Amino acid sequence: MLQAFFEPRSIAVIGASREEGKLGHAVLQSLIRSGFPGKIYPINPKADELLGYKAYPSVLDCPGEVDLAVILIPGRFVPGVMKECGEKGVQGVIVISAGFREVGAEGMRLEQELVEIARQYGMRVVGPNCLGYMDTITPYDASFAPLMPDNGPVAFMSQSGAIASSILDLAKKKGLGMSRFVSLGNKADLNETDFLIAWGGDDKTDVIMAYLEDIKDGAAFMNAAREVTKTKPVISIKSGSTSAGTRAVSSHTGALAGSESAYNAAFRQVGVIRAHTIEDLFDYSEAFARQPLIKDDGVCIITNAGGPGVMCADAVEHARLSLASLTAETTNTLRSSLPPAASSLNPVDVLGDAPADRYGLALKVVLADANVNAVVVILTPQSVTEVEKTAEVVAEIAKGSDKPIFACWIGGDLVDGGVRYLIEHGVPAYPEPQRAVRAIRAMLDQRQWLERPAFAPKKYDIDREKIERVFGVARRDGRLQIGDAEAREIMEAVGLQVPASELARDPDEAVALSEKIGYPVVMKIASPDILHKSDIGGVKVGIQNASEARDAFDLIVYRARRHAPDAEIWGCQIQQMIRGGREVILGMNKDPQFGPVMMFGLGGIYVEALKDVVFRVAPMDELEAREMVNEIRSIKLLQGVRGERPSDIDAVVDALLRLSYLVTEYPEIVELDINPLVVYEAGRGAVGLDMRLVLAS
Amino acid sequence: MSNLYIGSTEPFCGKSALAFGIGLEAKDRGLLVRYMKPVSILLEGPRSASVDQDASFARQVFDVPDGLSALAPVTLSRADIDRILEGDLEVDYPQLLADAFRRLAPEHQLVVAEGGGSLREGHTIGLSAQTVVRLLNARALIVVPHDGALITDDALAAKSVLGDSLMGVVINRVPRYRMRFVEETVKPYLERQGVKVYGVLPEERVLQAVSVREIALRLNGEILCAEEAADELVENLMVGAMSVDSALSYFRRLPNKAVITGGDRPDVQLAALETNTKAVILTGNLHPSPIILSRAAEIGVPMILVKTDTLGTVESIRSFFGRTRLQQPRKLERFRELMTERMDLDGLFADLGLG
Repeated sequence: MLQAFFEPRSIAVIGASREEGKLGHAVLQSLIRSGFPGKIYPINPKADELLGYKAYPSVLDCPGEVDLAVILIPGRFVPGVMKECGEKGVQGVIVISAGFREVGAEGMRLEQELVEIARQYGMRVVGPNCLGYMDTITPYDASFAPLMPDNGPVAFMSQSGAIASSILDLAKKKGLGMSRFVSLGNKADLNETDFLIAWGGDDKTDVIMAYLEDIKDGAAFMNAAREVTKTKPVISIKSGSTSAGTRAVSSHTGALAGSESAYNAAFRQVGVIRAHTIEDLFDYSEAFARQPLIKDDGVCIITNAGGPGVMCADAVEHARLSLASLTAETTNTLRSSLPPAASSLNPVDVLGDAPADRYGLALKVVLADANVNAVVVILTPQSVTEVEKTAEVVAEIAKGSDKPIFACWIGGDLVDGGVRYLIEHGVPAYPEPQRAVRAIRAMLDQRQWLERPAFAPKKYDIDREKIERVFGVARRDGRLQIGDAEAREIMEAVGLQVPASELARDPDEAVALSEKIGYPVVMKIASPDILHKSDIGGVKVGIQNASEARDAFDLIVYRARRHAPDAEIWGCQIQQMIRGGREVILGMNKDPQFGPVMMFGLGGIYVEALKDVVFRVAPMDELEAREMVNEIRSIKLLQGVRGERPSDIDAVVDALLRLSYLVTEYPEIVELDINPLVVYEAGRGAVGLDMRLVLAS
Repeated sequence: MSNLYIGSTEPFCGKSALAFGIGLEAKDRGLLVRYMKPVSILLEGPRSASVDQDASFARQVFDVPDGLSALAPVTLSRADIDRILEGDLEVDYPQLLADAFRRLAPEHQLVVAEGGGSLREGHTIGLSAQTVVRLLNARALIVVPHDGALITDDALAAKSVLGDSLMGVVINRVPRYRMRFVEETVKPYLERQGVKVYGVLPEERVLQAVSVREIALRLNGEILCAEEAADELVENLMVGAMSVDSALSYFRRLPNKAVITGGDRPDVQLAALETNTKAVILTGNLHPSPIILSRAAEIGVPMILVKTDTLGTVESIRSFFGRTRLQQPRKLERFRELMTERMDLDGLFADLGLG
């Protein structure tokens, strides 16, 4: 699809300039310097020749075909040359020029025009307002980035040009080679999802790295990522996770950032590894790019000092990993080959006087242990330590290993030589054990993701006629919010259990219905205009007899009239009183970027005060729903504590899946919650007591 | 020739809409119609502004060439009233009206005369509702709003003021959930008391809506983008001063709204743009980020920059929100739809002898 960007045979630089310091000069120079083997056409009506290449007044004047054009002229002239590119049959355009969406309404119109022209001629566009595009395979550099990275297996996309410059610089220093790089700019046409798909199918790319501030179409991104992450790791920074950050992103990208919980859920559901810092981004990428993927949990630590070994062991547990328990054979071999004072248990302490070959011996022995799946080799520079030689030994062993090995040369100038050697020879080296362990965690996440069964959302048989009737009535009355009896109908329509409940229009009816349902009953004000019923005293529980029922009806209606004189009051809902069980809350809020995001938590203080809630983007499958329930911190309360019997978790999972199906089928639902869903003992189901939903206007 | 006087018990309750609606209905029935506003007493603002607005809209609707004096022969400002009270201005207003009325071409089959903002208006200059009705030899149809005093009090008071010249009432702005009660209980009650009810019309937010342009004008604001959407109607007001997570949820509750928020709240502005919003009012004279302006322009939602702070802006909008003139053709169209659905128009024209 993006062939023109992958293997261009000719590139035109529109706005090429002879003046040093101008972008048009820098880009032409970068392109020439990158060793691009195809034809280069500088376009400048005022020049005959630029940097040794014949210049042309317009792209239309170029003698041969032009696959790719880089545009650097001021924004207002861009649509004109875009048309010329279209006429010339150019396939791909990189618009580096600024002056579009980011400058206001006028720029917006220009950007829309640019997209229209591209669609009309079937061209694909990177940018505008970006740094450009690079490819170390062809190779070519169509950017004004300060340098071109070395060739390697990592592809990198960045929504920020400035961050991109820093990361390219850092990659050079760390020796992390790249296959392709794109600066996404305003994402007028091509965006993160397009490159995710393109690079996903690119055999020159093993790892995809991204710096993102927003995502254009969350659902499309998720669908693409779900596939791509099964073939190669995708690691992304998504900035703007706090309210201050969100505000900054808003005024920077002009897109309402999705909520942090939505991003976390979405990334996780499609196997995108989230990096929180540039350091993480590199640490993970280096691990994936240079080491074989970990097969299973089981970390072994080899160290020449006790302290860092302990820190590393702590980090392992913090990262929800486990130290490999070495087999008796391994332990015996270590014991017989290492000095008596050494520890032959994990962490393996080779002692402060360990020379390089002792490290080598220990490393070979633990790698042979079936319980070990990754090794962290820690070195502290002590008086007799062979910093460089040890690096050589480790790198040599790593070369032939199918298990990932991570080096931790802790120190400053003393260890620099060793660190350099390790990096140059493909062993990720981190200055502290915690970072090595986080990289192992990312690797194990990827492994578990690869082994996870394919996403399989189920369909449910729901009563569409009933749902659409309720929505229709609300819309006809100009109401966006649905609660009470109407919401109950929706719950029934999706197959959830609800308590017996009927509408009483006057006190006599309230008594009759209470008797029919059976005391004790709950009475609630029935009004489409009163949503927070208990706030106005519109709910009474535990009504025991006819006289209480009569009084409760009068009192509730009186309070409702007083608090909300304009409210339409239908009467009171008489409801079977539900006793026992545990209260949980199920909810959905539509995220501007990812669509419906489901929420789950235990009722009462657990959600409100402790914020013990878990999110997932709908639609979800059973595995996701089950993980969702199991992830709350208070899960023990549902599993049964202090001799209590476990709650019916299957019923909660079923309810979550049914709601997920409902909100996916009816995208007009923008918010929904069932609060509470009362969950009985395992095998006895759950009952939705109250539901509220909001329709899109 | 039949003369119909349309009055109301309170201002801003749909009198112009009914007058214009009936006028247009008569036109559609092939009748030659004439609209006039016998008495205009304007206590707020300069005389010319609002009369001209109403008159020019009337001219647009009825396609009549006459000047202001024919459409609105008696027009008085507060200053005029003050002079009358001081004895500095002596005009025989009833005579003025009678003369103007006599000059109307006789071939008209229906003259629709729109009355004042209440049945009390006009006494000071000798042109009370009942006098005007008598002078024009008209039948009176009175609009009674649901949200005023008790409907039945208003309707029966109109009967006692206008006597037999009252042909009936139209009950307007009834909340949807009260419709059945008004139709099944209030209407039969009034009819038993001898007040015919020609229609019970539901409350429609769009009819009380204000255009984005009018809001900008009243707030002395500057429309920064999407000017082409400035005639869109705003039905609801919301203030955005919360965290962005709650903003989205809050803004989803009401459609067709104007959101008032600080120019320095890009997240709230975007949340507003994400939901059904007709305008974003930026307070504190703080320009929005250009990229947000782009977004607003892209989806065609005007952003209005005002100098006042959020509180001041809210107070100022509240002072005129919902008290609006008909003006927009779209509102009139919607009102006519309601009339067709909910009024006994055939009965009305028959009672006027035009059936």
